[in-house]
Amino acid sequence: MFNQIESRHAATVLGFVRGAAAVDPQSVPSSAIGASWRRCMIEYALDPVRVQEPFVLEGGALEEHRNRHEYLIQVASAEIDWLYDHIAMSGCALLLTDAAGIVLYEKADPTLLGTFRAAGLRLGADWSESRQGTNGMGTCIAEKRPIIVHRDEHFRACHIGLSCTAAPIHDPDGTLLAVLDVSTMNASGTRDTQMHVMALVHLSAKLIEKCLFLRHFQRGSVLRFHARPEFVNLQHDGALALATDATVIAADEMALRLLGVTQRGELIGRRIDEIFDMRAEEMLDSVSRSAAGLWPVRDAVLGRRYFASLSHESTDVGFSKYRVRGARASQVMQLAPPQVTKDVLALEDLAGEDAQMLRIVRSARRVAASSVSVMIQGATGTGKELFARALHAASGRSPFVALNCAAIPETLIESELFGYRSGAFTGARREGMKGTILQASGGTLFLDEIGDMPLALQTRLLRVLEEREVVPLGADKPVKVDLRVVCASHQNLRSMISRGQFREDLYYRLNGITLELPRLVERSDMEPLIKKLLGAETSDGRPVAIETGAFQCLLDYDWPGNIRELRNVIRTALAICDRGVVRLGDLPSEVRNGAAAAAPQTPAHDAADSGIVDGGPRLAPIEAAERQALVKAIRQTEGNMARAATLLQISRSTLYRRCRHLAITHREL
Amino acid sequence: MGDAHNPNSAADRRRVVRLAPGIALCRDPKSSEASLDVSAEGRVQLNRHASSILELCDGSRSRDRVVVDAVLRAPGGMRTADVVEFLEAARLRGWIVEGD
Repeated sequence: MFNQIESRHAATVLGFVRGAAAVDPQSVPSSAIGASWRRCMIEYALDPVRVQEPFVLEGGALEEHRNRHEYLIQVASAEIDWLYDHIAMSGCALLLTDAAGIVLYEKADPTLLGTFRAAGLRLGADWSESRQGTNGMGTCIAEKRPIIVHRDEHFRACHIGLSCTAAPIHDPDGTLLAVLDVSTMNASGTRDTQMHVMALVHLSAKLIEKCLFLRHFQRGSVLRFHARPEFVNLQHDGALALATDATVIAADEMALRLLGVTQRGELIGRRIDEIFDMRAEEMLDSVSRSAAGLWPVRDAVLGRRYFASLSHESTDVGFSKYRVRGARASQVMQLAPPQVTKDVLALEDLAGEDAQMLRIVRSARRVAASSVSVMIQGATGTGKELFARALHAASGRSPFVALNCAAIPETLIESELFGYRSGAFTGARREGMKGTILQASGGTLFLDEIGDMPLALQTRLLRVLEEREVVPLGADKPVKVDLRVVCASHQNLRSMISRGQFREDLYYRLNGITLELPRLVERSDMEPLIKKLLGAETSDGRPVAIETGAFQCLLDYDWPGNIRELRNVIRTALAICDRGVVRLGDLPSEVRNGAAAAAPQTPAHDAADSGIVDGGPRLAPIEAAERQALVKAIRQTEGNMARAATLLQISRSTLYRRCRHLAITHREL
Repeated sequence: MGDAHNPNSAADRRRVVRLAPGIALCRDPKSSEASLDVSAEGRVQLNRHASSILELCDGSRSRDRVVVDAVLRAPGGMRTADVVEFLEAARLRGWIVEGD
């Protein structure tokens, strides 16, 4: 029921907007609140008296809003949880809304959940000013600045039990992206007690903004600066994102404030050496030499002193995907043309947004520049070599030399690895051969399928790794080598050790750190991954659309392979599609037929008698029989490909090739 | 003359283009890609070039103007022929309509 206090409030609001003299001088609102009240009545035709059910988005519509702001929610929720624990105020609800005022995330005192729900403080609720009148979130969006809306400052009489403190969150180009709000019900304190909450909320909003800015430009160069060196790389420094030619493509709010600039346009498009008295080439140079640290710099206009540092995650700067707004945008865009598709993907490209892969990539990054041996484990097709190449690219070493121990005959592994002098053995090349170990000196030696390396050679390899020198076949003097070994195996090396098939000491020598790659189907980020690959494959400027069915098909396919396979399918589809629209028919039949062609699950029964392995690919009877024989042999030898090959009287390389051809995967073995 | 519509007639190329009723362009704020809501359940994925073209189909530009603007705006450059083809594909699928 409408009580006396509420009707008095409604009268105050109506009176104020209509310009009547205030009933009570105490109730004259601040200018921001007054302006909001006017908007509510005049622009939105809201009625302060009317009690209106909150408008709440649910189901798919809410999901869509949340999906659109997935990363924002991820960053903000961590911050909100922290803030919740640090606001010395019981009975509050913390809310994150998007720029339209829709609540995307909430954290509330569990004992008051019912009360908050009733007041409309809930996931999906629309708190825009046009719906709910003057309130923390909606008025913060309208005013584009932090605001307190305390109790009877609300427009609607039904909200006067609330006290809200809200701060805006901007995206890297300064557009309002979201609002962080703390609301309390029936707060006993005055407006002034909200001030400390305001400080915290504002701080958290700025922190979220900084995280979003850095994340947005994580693949490029970000210059961070502050007048005090100890503040550089912390929340309050200024951040400028730079294109490859050192022009500024984005600036955060702190950068504007520190440089005394009011508009982003004054910075964007300018070269960094027009802003600071530093030579851009010098700066970028020292970054490529990975000199971390601070430079003292001066503001080129006012001569104020700052300290600056430059983070530079990757050499291929991907700024072009960011749209720069403003007058000079077109110039900036041309200065940073998109990178042409490259075969070596960066670690971050491989990770996409999959949480497990991101963890792995973080570990890999940490050791990338060191000489720590890395062991990459994962089922066939998880992209172990791709990962090794990316790790190598991040190491700053050169060259990358790969040797697949399973692909070459055992007898040749020795000479391939260690090389030989001329005339070392019959059939040896006259000029001798350097051997992969020596070739890889100074760089990365990638040993794929290390489990297939014969025991005798394991001993020799161990000696090379320990003594850091190699004696080529037929040579008498050892040669010094500087090696970083990355190896990969789909086999369980520990069980091979217990069976005496792999040297334990070599295992520990190679296993500085183990990175276990998930299979593509295990990844949680297929959708962004497909979009990313699509973007990379069309960086030449081709407009492309993928029809619903085709996109869903790519998502649903039980990818037995790796990113490369996915990329190849996308690449082929783009090549054959008509006028830039990829339809279902442009995808390979095995992808289209989905489950039928996907790798089979472990058969429920022994398939020995049936012609075709259950759920396996549709094969001609002869191939089906061959497939069955291979699977049987590999199972019999517990995954030891060398022994399975002997059993089948074929070479290991043939075995691998046939396995791939017949889509035999690790999972079914 | 079964198909009365000739997309390449000069008059047609001067008519303004806009997204068809019921079709909405949804931008992914995290990346430059976008998608196109074509029906309640259907959603077409667009790369950034495709979305930048459709973004220009806002009823204020002729088809020729869209082509020119799309090519000029593309950071890495778009081929005019690709844009023309894509617009035609979009028209045939009913994503965009032309009118005065």
